[in-house]
Amino acid sequence: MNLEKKIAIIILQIALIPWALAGVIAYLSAQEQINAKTYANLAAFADLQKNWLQDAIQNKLDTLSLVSNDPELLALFHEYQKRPTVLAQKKVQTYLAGELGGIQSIQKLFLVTPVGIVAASTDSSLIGEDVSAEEYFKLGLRAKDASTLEKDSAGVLSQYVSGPIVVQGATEGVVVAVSDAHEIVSIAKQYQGLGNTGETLLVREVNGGDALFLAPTRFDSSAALVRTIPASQVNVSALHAAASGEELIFTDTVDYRGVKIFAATRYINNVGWGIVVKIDQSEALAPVRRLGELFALVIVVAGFLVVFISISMSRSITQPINQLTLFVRKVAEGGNLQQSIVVTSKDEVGQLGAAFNNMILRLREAYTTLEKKVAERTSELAEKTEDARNSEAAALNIAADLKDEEEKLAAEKTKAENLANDLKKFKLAIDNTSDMVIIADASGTALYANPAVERITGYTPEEVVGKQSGSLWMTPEAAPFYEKLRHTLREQKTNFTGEIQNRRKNGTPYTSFISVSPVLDELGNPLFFVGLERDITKEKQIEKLRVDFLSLASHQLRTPLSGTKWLIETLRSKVLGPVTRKQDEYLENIYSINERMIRLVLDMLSALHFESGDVEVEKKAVAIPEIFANIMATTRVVAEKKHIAIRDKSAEHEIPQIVTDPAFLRTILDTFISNALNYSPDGSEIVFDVVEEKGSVALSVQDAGIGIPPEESPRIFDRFYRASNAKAIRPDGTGLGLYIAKMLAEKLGGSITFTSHTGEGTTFTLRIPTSPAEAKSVHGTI
Amino acid sequence: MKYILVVEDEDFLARVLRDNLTLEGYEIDVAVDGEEALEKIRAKQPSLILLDLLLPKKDGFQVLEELKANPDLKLIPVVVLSNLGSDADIKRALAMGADDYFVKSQHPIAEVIERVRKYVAGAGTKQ
Repeated sequence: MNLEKKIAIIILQIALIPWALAGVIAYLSAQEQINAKTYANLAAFADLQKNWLQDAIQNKLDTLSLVSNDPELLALFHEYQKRPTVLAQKKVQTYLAGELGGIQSIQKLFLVTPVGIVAASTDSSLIGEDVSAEEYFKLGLRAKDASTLEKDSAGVLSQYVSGPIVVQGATEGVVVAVSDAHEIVSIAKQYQGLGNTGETLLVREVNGGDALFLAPTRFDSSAALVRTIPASQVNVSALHAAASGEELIFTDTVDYRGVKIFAATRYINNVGWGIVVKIDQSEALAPVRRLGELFALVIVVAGFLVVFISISMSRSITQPINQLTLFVRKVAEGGNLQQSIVVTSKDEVGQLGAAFNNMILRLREAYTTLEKKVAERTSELAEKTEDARNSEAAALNIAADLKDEEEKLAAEKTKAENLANDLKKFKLAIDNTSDMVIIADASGTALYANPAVERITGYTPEEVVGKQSGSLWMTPEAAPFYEKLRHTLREQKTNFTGEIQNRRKNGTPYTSFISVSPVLDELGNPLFFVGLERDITKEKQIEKLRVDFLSLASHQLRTPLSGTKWLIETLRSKVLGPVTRKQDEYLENIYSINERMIRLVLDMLSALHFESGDVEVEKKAVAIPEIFANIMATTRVVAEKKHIAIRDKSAEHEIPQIVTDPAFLRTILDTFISNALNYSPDGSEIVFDVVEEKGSVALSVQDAGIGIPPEESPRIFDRFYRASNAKAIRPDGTGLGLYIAKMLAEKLGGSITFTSHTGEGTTFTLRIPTSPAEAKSVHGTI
Repeated sequence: MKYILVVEDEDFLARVLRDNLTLEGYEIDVAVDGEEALEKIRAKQPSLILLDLLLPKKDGFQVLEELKANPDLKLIPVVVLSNLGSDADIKRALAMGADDYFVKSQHPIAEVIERVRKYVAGAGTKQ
């Protein structure tokens, strides 16, 4: 057996035996206590039952003695005994009936002559019966109050109480009262407090030693006056003891069923009955049994625990020893001195390990010294000759090494200095930038704030650092915005930008443009946040002024133009009088100049409006045929005048669904078609088509017009730019149509391209992405 | 004779409208600001109101609002003639109860007269 097992067994013994002993002692003591308690309970119950029974019987006897001592009854009975005439008997009989009427608990009352013949009875059928053999008669005749239980002819259990009739010292007969045995039986049937198996047995000794049950038992309802326990059946000791008048406690006996019981016996003196109060051992001892089971369970669990603990403790003791053994073996067999044992424990084994290490160290030293000495001696000669040369080479090497080191150090220093300078410059840059810069930790608490924070918000960087970023200048209305910001940064972990109304320390509101980016670690969790904030209050004010100006300018420019337009129209309508042909030509010139001005103002205002950036794009599914028809309606006059056919090729095939801003789309297509009409020869054809491409829809307008000169094509979308050949045939264009169209196309996420051959024609194509997702991805790759 | 009120602060525009409409056979009166317009409308109910929007004292929107709030006047047709041409202005005026809206420079006067004729005849419909 190895050490590990030995130690384990010792621990097991030490740990388990006291446990087991303690358990057994506890078990025995519990059993003893419960037994003692059971006996005491049984004895107390037996006393109680005895008292009840005695009281009940005494009640009946008291009643009977009232009857037997009634002088009038005695006189009448004496008279009858002397002269047993019918009349005398009738008198006794009448009197008896009168007596019974006054006593409710008694059912029958009868008088028996000393020879055992019933002389008078409330139950007339009994008169003349010979009851000399009955127990109650025998007891009554012996001038002794007696109570016994008998069964009548119908098998009903009744209580018979009898006493002697004594006249002038001589016993002249017996008076018997019969009543329901119910009271007695119910006492015997009192099981409350006796669990599921306990009961009270009433017994009387018969035939010189047998025990007769007087009342039904819990487990044998027909036992009353029938069942006996013969004297020969010695193991039913409690019943025999009770019947023979002994008052005892039985700690180990059996009852009439042969079941092991605990019992207490009592004796009712005045009637000669015994009672046995008993309970099954199995029930009384149930708590002890449960305790035993619990204890056994605890022992088993504890046993497992102890086994486990003892094994691991034993291991912890033996493992270092095993290691040490292995190590010593390695050192001893392999001669390897270049190792040491790792000593972790601080106990004796640990000390042993340390001692070993020390010893090996010493050995190693000694061995090294020895080797060195041998080597020294053997190489001494050679060394001497090499010495000079070696020293020289060594010196050179060292010098070279030193130089390398120096250079490396210098390089490192420069690098560090550069880095420090970079950082300094970087900080200087942030400190001096006009935008607010705030760096916050992962919880949003500001770690750094640059001086611009104070310039913009009025709060010093010291006030800002350590607080939740933005909390100082956030207005209550802006709270949802900040909530969105936090969500974007924390959940989506992407950059957040937006405009927000904040409040300076002095209470004045200001508008900022905010851009916050999370800096993520390798796992994608935010390390910190870098926030930039620009005060755009002035820009916003300027923007508002610009919009207001535009609106005003729009009105102010248009008013004289529209006035002029209507005045000329009125003149030319001749409602005010005749106009000469020459005058009308002039009026027409002025009118077209005015019209051109109107167009120019309109286009300029639209260009300015779209450039302002606050144009909302409202995308929805658009109906191309509807938009096309709409454009046709406005261009019809020109097209008819020039005999130009506009063919809708898209109507000849399936066209894809387009989701975009219909007003923008209409303006763009209107520009395409108007241009085509303006720059195409009379009688030519214009073709409109819609084609689905990969990820986009292409809407094109093809004409057979003058074309765009190649050298001018790069400038065709510039503001106010007009191609030379276009200017030549239409001097009144504004040069803003394509500029606006391109701007709108970009707002839709699309693009405009064209192909053109001078003198042959041009095709303009608008491409719109088919879904927002694709539009975004296209955008992302730029 | 049908009576039309022209609300227009620009003298030459008022005149060209008055001349054309008089020739059409209507009785014309001109109001040069919003307050004057409301006074004249209350004094004598016109068959049609031609309403400019940018006006001194009370602007066209205010005039429109007061007219439409008055059960006696709210059924008089109102055609807005304005140089304000943005979608927002047009939608706002129509939403407030204007029956029609012309951006002046975008339409020949003949078209305006034609529309007036229809409204006065009771055949005008909302655009």
